[in-house]
Amino acid sequence: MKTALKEYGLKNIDRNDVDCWDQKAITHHATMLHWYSAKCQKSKPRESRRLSVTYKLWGDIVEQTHKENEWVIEYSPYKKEDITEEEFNELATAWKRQTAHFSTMYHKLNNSNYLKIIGSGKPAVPFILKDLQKNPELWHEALYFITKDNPVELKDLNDIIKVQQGWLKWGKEQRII
Amino acid sequence: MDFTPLRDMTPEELASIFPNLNPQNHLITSPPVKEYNCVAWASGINNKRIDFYRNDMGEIDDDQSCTRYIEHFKTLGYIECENSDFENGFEKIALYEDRRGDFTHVALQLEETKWTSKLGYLEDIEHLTLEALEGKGRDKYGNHTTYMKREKK
Repeated sequence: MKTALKEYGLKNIDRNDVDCWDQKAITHHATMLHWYSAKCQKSKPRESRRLSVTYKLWGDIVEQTHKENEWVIEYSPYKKEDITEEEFNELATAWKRQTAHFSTMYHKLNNSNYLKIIGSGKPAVPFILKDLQKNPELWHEALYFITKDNPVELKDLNDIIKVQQGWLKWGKEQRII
Repeated sequence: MDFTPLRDMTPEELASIFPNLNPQNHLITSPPVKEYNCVAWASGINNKRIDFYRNDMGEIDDDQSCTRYIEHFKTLGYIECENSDFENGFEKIALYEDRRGDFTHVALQLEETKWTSKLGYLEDIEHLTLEALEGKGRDKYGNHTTYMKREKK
């Protein structure tokens, strides 16, 4: 993952105005936020030697920080503790409405609302699982990128019912639901 | 239902994703379901999705083009062909890609002027032309670009 981030860190990004079609780069950036944030927090001080650039992604500020020869991507549509259930529901509803006609997870994942939910971090997990209790849905990528857990086998990712059952079982084991 | 099915969309909603689709050029042939997608539908499967967005290593693949889907359909006996023109004795499929070159959709030919498509979570439809599902820009299918055929059994 680190290699992928380095590869995508600058090469594919137009820093003047990233539009929605720079999706391959955005996917890598947004979905790896938490992994990198956690890594940075362990190697404090985070603010030292900060060299950063910012650009807009769907109206949200994205920050790239060059630190210890690595580009760290901070995608912060919400502060992690900020998302409420109401906000989650708005994002989830918009995501479902905007991507219902797509057949590929890649296009569903590369939607700003889905990325914002990922960017919201762990506070979004109970809301995702609650939604999953109502209907099968392709939430596994958001859950995977937030929690770094993966209770559904790769071969079962195309079975939306197994995805639902696998993550609900995980949620019960984690005592989140 | 947590999304708007095709049958309940306003003309504006429909135009925002399928600008060429109208009541005269398509017929809804199933209820909306999430269990299968267009690739599965064109492969004769209706109980699971077929999606190659992750590679065999489990990583999100940098290559989201039609390549993996072409390989998949080759395993089903299809070979690439030049166009979508109807040919007696053959089944044809048409693959769509968006302006980034990423695979978005596949439609299966039923008759000379009849195609069938499963539209993501939305309904299966029969449509008169491939252009009916085309659209440029964000959240659209793009254009049909690749054609494959196999002998009818």
